[in-house]
Amino acid sequence: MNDEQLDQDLIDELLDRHFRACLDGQRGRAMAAFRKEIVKPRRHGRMWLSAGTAVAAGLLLAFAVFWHRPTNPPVVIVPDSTPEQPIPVVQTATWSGMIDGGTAVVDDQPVRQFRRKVVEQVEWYDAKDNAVVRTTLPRQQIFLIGMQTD
Amino acid sequence: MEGTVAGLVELAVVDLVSRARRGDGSAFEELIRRHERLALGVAYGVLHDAQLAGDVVQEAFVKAWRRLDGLASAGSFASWLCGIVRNLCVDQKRRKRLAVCGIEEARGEADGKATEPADEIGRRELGEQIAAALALLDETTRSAMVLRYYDSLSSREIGELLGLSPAAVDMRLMRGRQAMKEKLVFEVNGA
Repeated sequence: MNDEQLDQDLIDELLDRHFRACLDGQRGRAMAAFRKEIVKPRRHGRMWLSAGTAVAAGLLLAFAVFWHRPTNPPVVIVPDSTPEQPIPVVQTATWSGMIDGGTAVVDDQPVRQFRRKVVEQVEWYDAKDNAVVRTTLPRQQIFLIGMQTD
Repeated sequence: MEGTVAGLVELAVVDLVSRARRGDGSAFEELIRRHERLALGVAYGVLHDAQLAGDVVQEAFVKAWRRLDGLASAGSFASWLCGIVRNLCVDQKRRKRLAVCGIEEARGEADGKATEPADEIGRRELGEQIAAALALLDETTRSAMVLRYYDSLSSREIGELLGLSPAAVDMRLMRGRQAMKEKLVFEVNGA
């Protein structure tokens, strides 16, 4: 075997080792990625299910909120031709959902309290100054429901 | 094709592709096992970065699985896969500035013989020299070298993948070896 052949064998050996050293560490990654990929549809299914549940819950919540907090359609009152006093032209009221305030005793009678907050807004038209004035009135309503004491 | 080992291998690949197309994941896993070295070789030939090559190959197989219906001929799975790998390499090159094979990768961990610190330093240096010499080769020649040395492909197989005749592959391999020899042998012999 001459020097040239020895050199060639050495090159072959070096390249073989070099490529193995560089690339063998990368093997197995594709398999892992593929396995992750093929379980994805199920995950997607679960994700969609979760998303669907979340959307349904959100809709329920939104429905509940709006059910309990409807914004009344504005009541528009057309002013008289020559009003002396400001008159309400738009009235709106929004209220929160009922809050269970627990039991209480009123006049020796046990009652269940329910509270809700109401915000009333009224726009007044002042013909004298040709101005619109808006008033906001927050208030709380308390409902007392008698409880039977058998 | 019939009666040869290559022919039988090709038939098996056709069968695996057909099964994979019907959603058989285990068949596709076998395709990964059989073509992973090839894909890594192609990616490394273009990118000259082992980590990036691994990233690209991982993505390429997932893409291949998703697009298996787009493969015109099941027998051309390898060249089709290499096309995906090459396209991803081009994207990768656009995204990131390339780095040569790192010291950690090049230090010859595969043989596990380096126990003495001096040996290890020597191996690191040698790995760096090989990486530097490979970096001087053109992309096609480097790809041919990786496919020959890492995946032991024949000149005909390399030619099919790179769009070259077997003679052209041999020529490139010869020139590549010569270039490596000029860069390395003096230093190795002199060490």
